[in-house]
Amino acid sequence: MKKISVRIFSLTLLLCILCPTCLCLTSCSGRGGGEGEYTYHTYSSALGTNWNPHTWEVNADSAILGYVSSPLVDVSIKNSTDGVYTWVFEMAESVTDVTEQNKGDLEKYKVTLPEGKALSDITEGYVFEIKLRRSAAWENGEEINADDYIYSMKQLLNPKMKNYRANLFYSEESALAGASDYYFGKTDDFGAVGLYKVDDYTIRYVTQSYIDYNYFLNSCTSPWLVYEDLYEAGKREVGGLTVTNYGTSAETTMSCGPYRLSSIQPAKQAVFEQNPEWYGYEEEDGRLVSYTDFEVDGERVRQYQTTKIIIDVLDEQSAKNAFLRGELSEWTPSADELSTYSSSDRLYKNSETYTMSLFFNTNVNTLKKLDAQSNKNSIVLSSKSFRKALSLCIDRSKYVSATGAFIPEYALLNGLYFYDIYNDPTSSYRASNAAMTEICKLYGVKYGEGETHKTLADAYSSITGYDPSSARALMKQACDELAASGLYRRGEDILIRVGWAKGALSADDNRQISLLNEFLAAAAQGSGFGQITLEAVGNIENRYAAVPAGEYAIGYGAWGGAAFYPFRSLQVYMDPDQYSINEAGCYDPKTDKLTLDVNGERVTKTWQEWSGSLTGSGMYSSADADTRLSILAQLEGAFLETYYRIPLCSSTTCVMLSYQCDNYTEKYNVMYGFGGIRLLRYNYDDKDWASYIKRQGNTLSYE
Amino acid sequence: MIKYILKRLILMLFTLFVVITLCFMLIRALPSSPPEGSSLAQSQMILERWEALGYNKPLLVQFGIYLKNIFTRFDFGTSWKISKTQPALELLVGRLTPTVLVNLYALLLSIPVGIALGILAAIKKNKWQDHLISTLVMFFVSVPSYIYAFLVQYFLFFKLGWFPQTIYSLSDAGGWFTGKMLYSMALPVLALSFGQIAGLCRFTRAELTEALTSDYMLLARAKGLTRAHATTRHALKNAMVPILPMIISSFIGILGGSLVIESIFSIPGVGQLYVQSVQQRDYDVFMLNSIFYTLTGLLAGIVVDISYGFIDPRIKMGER
Amino acid sequence: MLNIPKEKFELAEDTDRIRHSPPPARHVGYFADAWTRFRKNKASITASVIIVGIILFSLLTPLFVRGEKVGGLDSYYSKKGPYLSSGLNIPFFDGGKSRSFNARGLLHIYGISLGACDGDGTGNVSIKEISDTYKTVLTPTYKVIGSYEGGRYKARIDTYAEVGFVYMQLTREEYANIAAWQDQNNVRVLYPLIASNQFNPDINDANYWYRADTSSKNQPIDLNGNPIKLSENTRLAENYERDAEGNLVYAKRVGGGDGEALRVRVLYRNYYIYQNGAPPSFILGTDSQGYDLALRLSEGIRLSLFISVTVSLINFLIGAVYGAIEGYFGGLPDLILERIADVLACVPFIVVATLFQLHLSERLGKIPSLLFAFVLTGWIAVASRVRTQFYRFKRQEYVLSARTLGASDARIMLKHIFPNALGTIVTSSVLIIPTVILNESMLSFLGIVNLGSSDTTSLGTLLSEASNIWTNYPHLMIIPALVISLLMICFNLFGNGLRDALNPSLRGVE
Repeated sequence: MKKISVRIFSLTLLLCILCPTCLCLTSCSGRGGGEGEYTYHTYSSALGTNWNPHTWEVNADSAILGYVSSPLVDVSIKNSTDGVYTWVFEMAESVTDVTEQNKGDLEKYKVTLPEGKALSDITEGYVFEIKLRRSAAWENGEEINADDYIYSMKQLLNPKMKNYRANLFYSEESALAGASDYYFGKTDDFGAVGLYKVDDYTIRYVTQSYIDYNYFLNSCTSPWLVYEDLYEAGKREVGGLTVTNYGTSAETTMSCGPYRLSSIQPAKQAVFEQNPEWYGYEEEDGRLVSYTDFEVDGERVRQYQTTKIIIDVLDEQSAKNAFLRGELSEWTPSADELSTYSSSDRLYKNSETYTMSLFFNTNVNTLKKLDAQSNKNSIVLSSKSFRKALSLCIDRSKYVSATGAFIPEYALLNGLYFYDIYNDPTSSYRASNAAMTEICKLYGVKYGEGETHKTLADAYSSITGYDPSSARALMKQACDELAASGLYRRGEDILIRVGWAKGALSADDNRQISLLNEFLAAAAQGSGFGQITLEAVGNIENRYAAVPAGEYAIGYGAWGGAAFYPFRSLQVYMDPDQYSINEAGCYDPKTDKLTLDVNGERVTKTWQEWSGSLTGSGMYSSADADTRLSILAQLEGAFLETYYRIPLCSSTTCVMLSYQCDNYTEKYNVMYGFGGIRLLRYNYDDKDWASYIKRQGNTLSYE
Repeated sequence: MIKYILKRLILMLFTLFVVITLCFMLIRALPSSPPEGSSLAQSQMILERWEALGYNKPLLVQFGIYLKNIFTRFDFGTSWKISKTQPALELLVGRLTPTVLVNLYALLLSIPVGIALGILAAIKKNKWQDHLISTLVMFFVSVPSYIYAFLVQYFLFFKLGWFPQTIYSLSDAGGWFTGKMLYSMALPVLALSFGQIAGLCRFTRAELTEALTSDYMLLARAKGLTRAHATTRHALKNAMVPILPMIISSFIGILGGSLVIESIFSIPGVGQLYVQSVQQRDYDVFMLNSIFYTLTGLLAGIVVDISYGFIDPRIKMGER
Repeated sequence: MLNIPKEKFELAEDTDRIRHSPPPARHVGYFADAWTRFRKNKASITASVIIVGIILFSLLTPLFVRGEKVGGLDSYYSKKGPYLSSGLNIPFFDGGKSRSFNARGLLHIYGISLGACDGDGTGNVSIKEISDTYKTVLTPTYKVIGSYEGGRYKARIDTYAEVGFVYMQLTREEYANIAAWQDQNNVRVLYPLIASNQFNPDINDANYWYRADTSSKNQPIDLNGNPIKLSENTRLAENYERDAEGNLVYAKRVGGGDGEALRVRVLYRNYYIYQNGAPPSFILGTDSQGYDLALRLSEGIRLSLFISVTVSLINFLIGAVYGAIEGYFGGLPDLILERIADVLACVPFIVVATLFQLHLSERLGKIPSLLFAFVLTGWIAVASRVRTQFYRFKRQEYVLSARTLGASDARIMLKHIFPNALGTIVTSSVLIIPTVILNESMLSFLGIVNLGSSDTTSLGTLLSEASNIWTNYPHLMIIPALVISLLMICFNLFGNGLRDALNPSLRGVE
């Protein structure tokens, strides 16, 4: 009896669940829009939670910020066949260098003059006048003027808020004069900071040190504008700090860009729609369209064709499924999937600037301590021959075969760096003669008459960083040295723990370590060393600090970024005042000296001075590009010679675009990518796209 | 009875306190240093923030501040990593709805189906229905839940397109309780309920079998009751005794175990928050989450114990 | 009333039939009885056999499968399907996969075979002339399916052959050895190097031996620059490096120093044969690192079983003792012990596991800290079951009578109540095993603990590695999932059988 009634009950329940389902099936419509609408579906593993331009931290945050804000200046395409870029003035109508006419400001704001120059020598590079666009407005219609900018900068540098992004304006190349003092509370007069208003639509920006006009424009591409009312309303005290919740939800965001945030559900979805108050839109057939102010390939083209952007939180597998069913407009295949899609028409490859390398703590006492605790005979790392042997015994092309999408690297700054990008877009650092010469010198590759390689380019392209016979010889030499100095006993095994990753070790990491051990074993044959094993350790919160602190003898990590301004990049290895250096115990960059060849002269400085000499107030910061290039190349070569850091590989990312939309150009350019969302063109509007998918049987194929 | 309930409540609070202390000590004792900035200036700034929030004070002092905040201001701390400057309580409450909904639906689906199947299997013991159900149950219990999730997603979404892959966002569905949201939750509910149905079915079958073979059943048959009558009046009631606690504990179990399901179907729920807070060392959110799970577990325990007393008069707690 | 005469009654002397049959001569003990019942249960016997089979598999596989591949980890052959290249051409074991391509992609795949047949660098082999020794495409079609984006083709390709050519750095000695070997055995390993000119799309990829148009998505072109179309007679234009006299270059000095290293281009399959003496054969395929999957599976089974059985045993011991004391004495001891158990039970498992991993894995190792995490809260369930059972049984009459007769507490617990409870307790202990396997796989899946390393792995790790890529490489997920499911089903059946067997009240019940 009961059994039957239970049965009926459960059946009824099932029916109750199915009924609304059927109702929904009929009433459900697709997620995209209809005719004339162009929706860009993208995804991310985590949604940004804080897109306040003063405090954003991760890429997900800056993605949101990018849609709801418009910077003063942007970069886009002038000529896509030749790869010529152009500066685009967005919120700024113009930016001019007015140093000559405003020398008084230099004294007033106590700027730093370059070494060896006097006030009378300065004619440019300190004071810039920005004329603001008059039609710029917030999404609620209020107009934007100079007061908003001054207010925003004042908040950004507010000593009680300690904003995360303030360092861009008080300590980097475009640092505002007097900002550092204001930020650290040494003075509370904002008038002493070099940003002031000339009239309602003009502001002047005084930099602390010399900066080239193009680099200043580049710094203007980061927005700092905030909406005062919401910013103030969201302030509260937490601990000893003042924080604001500006830019954390749809209600606390005010957009000044082409899109506005129409809704965001944390950890789930963010939706952006066109911002009708944006100055770039005009009405056409009842829709908002926009055309570029500037000429692209000779004509003004349609820009920001996308009418709606949806960012979903999806995991890897779901993203792939969604992409193949036409629900996503772009997808990033993982390294494992790349082999299937490598011939695809829709695959776009970018390289990244991050070069993975091994870095060491070579302090003898630290190593001895580690040997007593968790390593065995890691004292061998103090020998330069050993480290050089380590570098030469790694077959980098085999190493990168362990994981997809990595390419071998032999130097610190990889092929994405440009030393004079704004004046010469082909000025690739890695391909320059100066840099190539240094690397050939490093790996001992000769070229010219009577040698295997006739030209420098030939010699450079033959470098693989792999020289097994030299490696073996060096190993033997290292063993002899170490045994002679009593630090190591022949034949003993060596075990060194490597601070490998922040998260848990993945299969890829294990593979890489196995390969490294294999290479070491091959090199150590016949050298007198016992078995050498590297052990990778994961789940380390901050391995970059752990190695110099003496917790690990070797670390595995990367530096990168600033591809257009490599002159500061070596400071991360040599300037302990500005950066916490990962390598330790090796040398003291503040006192050890280095002699380099500058335009025929032999000049000696400390390492720290050299690394700072090319930028800011350094001696050569206003020298011509070739001089700076030569110094940079020599400095990089000299540092690599010490073998405190061994570069291994760098990564590439690949993105697949759906058939729904096309990039403006197929030729990648380091300045503007493929054209970005500004110039993205659609082949189908939402309605046509839905029917296209249906025609293909609901599953698309991209290989 | 009332005295007993009061005693249990007080003990629950005590347990809660001990658990909070344990979790707090364990997670704050982890070697953790302030994150590195990309330049020395930034690192300096981060250190100052760290200091200003009191993370450098001794452990007990930190604990004291934490408790004080809870009792005086109901302030469970702020989230610093997952959602900047948002109060942890607000963050958790915002994530409760989807988790509870999905679990509730899964439970509503699995209880009747599971019990019904279990009864069927027990009654028709060793006949073909029993074998079929037992085999299916074996199969469903032994495959990990995320494999179902993948399979369900693959076949029902990718190949057939009947259901959406992830649950709809609020703006797509228009609210948590609409029909569209229910429709989009079909896949995770299905994935969750397989295991539950199997577990319930197996348990019911076991208990009912044991009840069916006991002496009073023999007596009932001897007295002349029909098989069905004897089963419903005697065996079923006895067999149901341990099932109610099992249902309650399985609800708690789903709450805890749906972490994987939540990440696969993009459900912005409590489980996902939990894993994130552990990975990113967002202390306050982690503590609040642990308190939440502990509290639900303890409440469930009390309810179970009390209900035991009601359902089975033989078992009186606390007696020799 | 009828008068029935006395003579009609006969005395019934059926003493043989009426008298009780003598009691069985042998007394059937508890365990003997249990064993009989267990034996009769066909499902549990099957389950036990399968479990033993799996254990044997995990112990014996390392003996049959080469663990240490010559040359170490084989990262080129990672994530490939099952492959037995003994020439038997069994469909499942040919490492084949059906994929869809655009014209360029299919040409590229054919290009690998064409290149392999083209050791002398004339580039004059056409698709239909590809020899059987190196076929990348197993079942080709030239049929266009789907009408979009230039037409798509479906073909079944050999994923092992797809690896094609790789660049290697060898010493002079190794180079000489290979050259000698390839002449001796008539198997070509070394192939001409590719020129790094504007027709070479990727200098790191040794499969682009033909001319391609780098400005147009690497479309293969002929000597005049026209795109090559796909058909039976297609030939590709070669782009090999030639020295000053126009000869092919097979090896080039690279790097610096005394230049001992030579860069060569090898056909990886033949290089594998050179190194290992036989073509690749992986009965279950390879995992995502490059190890033989059968080997990793056996390691995983061993580790998972080890962890779960240990945990189960420890939990059983602790839980039984704890629960017995609680359940038997009741009252104050029960309350106190319950509270302690409650406190421990309420610490969520995932927290305990994560924190222990982070704190202790450095000092104790990953596995002991995982065991510790399981054991810390695992025994509570057993203890509570035991406690419930004790509560149910301690009011029984035989307990009362035993107590009246003066039995001590320990004796009552052990001899009277425990055996009744044994059924449920042992079953629940055995059933812990699949739960532990499941929990461990979930922890590995979430990335909280990673037991994988170059010599060990666990089933959960195998699954989590496969979770992102399984639609492309289904065998990576199906095989471990199958094994886990099989293990769990069998343990469940085994547990059920045990429970039925150890339940004395079922004696005589069919």
